[in-house]
Amino acid sequence: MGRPRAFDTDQAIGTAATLFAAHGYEGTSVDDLVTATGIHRGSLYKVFGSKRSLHLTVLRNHLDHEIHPATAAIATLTDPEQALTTAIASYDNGPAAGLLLLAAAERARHDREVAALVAEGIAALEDALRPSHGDAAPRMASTVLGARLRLRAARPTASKEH
Amino acid sequence: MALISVDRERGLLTVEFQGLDKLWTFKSRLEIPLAHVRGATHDPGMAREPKGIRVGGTHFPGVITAGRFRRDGERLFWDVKNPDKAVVVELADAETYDRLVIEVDDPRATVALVERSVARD
Repeated sequence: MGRPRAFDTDQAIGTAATLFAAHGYEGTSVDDLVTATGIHRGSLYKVFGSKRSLHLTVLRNHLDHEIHPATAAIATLTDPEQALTTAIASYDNGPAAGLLLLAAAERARHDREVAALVAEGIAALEDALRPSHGDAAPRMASTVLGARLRLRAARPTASKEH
Repeated sequence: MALISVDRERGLLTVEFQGLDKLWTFKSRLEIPLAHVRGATHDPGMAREPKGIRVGGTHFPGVITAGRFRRDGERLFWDVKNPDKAVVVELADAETYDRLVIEVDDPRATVALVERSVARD
């Protein structure tokens, strides 16, 4: 236990993202966040305000640094098959893979701001599939989300349980 | 135990201490402008943190932490007997306290109420 220390906010957001993606919002306690980030509890509150506020920051960051770059790459593909496989492989991926999917399932019903961020992510996927699939893009987006969900269910991670 | 409520008309977050907690905390209520409230979190682990120096109030370790405490230059207000129901309310610098740690009857509902009421920057 020491005094509050300067720390790397981006790194803390990244660590929090992997926790939320692995254990969900409710399944991630402040204790988990303090332990994994190594940040003093008081500093965590001072910087982010609350666990919900941190979760929203993490989701915003995931959209900007994972979802939007991935969908921008998908949007350049015109071959329908290639666009679909690329989307299934790369959408909502990265170190916090599944964060958006989990937020959609767990939090969107209870939290308008989460719902808006989830909607933004899904709209980006639909738009990205439009060059390759035209009017079928929304249906293809649902296929991608379903495939991502099945991939997640089929691959239990080796991370330790609490 | 305390009751946290939001008075939208007056733009206030109010914390009303119940029963003997008025005695332990030396206060019957706190009123905080909503503009100074940054958020609320259900945090049972908070009670294991060192409490720092008691400025005014009551501290029987393991039984009750109530009143004003100072730690690492921060001013905290505690009212917790049962850590499982502790809610941390983070305040902006302008307020009298940096942080409130308050035991409430329904942490989930209290957190939702406070989080709904604060403006996000």
